[in-house]
Amino acid sequence: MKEILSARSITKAFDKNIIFKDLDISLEEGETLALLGPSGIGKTTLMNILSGVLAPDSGNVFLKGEDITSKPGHISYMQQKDLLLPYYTVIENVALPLIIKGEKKKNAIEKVEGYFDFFGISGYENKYPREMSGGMKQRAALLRAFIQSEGVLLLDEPFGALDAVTRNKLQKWYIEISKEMKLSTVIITHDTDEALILADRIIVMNNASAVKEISIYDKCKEYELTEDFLKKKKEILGYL
Amino acid sequence: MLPSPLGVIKAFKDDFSLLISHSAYTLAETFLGMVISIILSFTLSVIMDRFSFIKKAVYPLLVVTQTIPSIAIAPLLVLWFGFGMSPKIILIVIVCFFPLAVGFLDGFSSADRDEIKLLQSMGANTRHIFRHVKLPRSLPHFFAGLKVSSSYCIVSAVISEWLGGTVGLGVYMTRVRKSYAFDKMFAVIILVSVLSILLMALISLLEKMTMPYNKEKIK
Repeated sequence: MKEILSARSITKAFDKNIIFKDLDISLEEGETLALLGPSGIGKTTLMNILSGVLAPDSGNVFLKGEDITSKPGHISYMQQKDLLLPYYTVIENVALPLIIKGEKKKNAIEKVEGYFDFFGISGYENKYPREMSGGMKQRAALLRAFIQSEGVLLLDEPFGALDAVTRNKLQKWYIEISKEMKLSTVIITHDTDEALILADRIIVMNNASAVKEISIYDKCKEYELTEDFLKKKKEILGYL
Repeated sequence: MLPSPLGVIKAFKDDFSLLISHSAYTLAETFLGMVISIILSFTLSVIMDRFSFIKKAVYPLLVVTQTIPSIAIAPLLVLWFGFGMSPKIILIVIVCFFPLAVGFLDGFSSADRDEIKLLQSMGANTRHIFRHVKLPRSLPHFFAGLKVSSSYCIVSAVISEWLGGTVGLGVYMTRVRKSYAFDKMFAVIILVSVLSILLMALISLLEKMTMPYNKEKIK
C-alpha cells in the first residue's frame, strides 16, 4: 500500500515539558490507524500538528509527498464535539470547507448534496443541527470532514460523546463507509475496544519515548467476539 | 391636577394630527440615531476585537461616556449644534452606543475556541472566521444591547427636545406643560410609552427573522 500521510522526526515541547521527541508516524492509503493512550499524553497535540494548526518545534509532516507542516487546510480534523455551527443548516455546515476554499455557496451546496444519502443523513439537508440526534450530528460532522479533505481524516475521539448503543452502531457504520470511500484515517481514542474494532493498526502511546505498534490483520464485522480480540486487548493493556 | 382617563382620551383625539406630526419627527430622530449608533458601534467593536491594544485603550473611555448624565450635556449640545435635528441625534448616539458596543464585543469574544480551530483547520483566514463564527455568535448579544438601547433612545430624543427645538414630542410636551394642559400631558406620556413598546416589539420581530435557528430559545 502507498503511504499517504507521514510525520517525520516530530519534536514538540511546551515550556520544558517534552511531549514528543523524534516521533515518526505514517499512514497508508485506505488504512485506519488508531492512536491509543491515556489522557494528557499528547494525542491531541499530535493531531494539531498533523492538521497544521500547530507548528512542531522540529520535524515535518508530508501529505502525498508534499510538505504540509504548519499549513492548515489540507487534512480535515474532526473533534469529539460535532462542532456543527448552530446558525447554519446541515447542508451549509457540510459545504463550509468548500465555501472557505473560495467556492460560491450555491456550487458548494450542489457538490455536497449527493453524499447525504450515502452518509445516512438525507432528509436533514435543510434542517438545523439542533433538530438532529447526537449520532446524526456526528455523521454530518464526518461528512463535512470528508468533504474537506477528500479522504484523509483525523478523528479525535469522534464517538466519545455518544451513548454506548449509538457508538457501537456508528463504529460498525464507520468500518463500512471507510472501506467504500477508501478513507485514510488517524483516529484518537482512549478506549481499547474502539481502537481494536476500528483500526487496522494501533499505536499505543504511554510516554514520549515509548510507542508500541500493534497490527490487526483479520478485522471483521464480529471481531470483538473473537479470541484474538481479547488477546490483543490484553497485550495493549500491558503496554499502558 | 390628575385628569380623568376619558379626558386623556379626548385630548389624544383632539390633538391626534398634531401628535402624529410631532411623533414622526421624534421617530425620525430616533431611527437615525439608532442607525448611526449601530454603524459606529459595529465598526469600533470590529477594530477593538481585531487589535487588543485599541480595546485596552478605548474601553475605559467608553465606560466614562456612560457616567456622564445625558440630561446635563443635552443643553450643551443644543448650544453647540443649534435647534435642528443634529443635537438630538448626537445625544441618542451617546446614549445608545455603549450597550450596543458592549453587546458586539461580548459577542465576538464569546466565539467558541474549538469552532475557530475547526475553521483554521479548513484553511480559514481572519475574515472567514469573522464571517462564519464571530459575527453570527455576536447576534444574540447585539440584539440584547439593541433592546436596552431602544428603551433609552425615544426618551433621550424627548429630553433633548425639551431643551430646544421647534418640532417633536418633547417640544409638544413643554408647550402643554406650560399651558397646564395635564390631559394633553398624560396623552403624550402614554404615547411615548406606546412608541417605546412598539419599537421593542419591532426589534424582537427582527431578531426572530435574523436568527430563525434560535426559535426555541426566543420562545
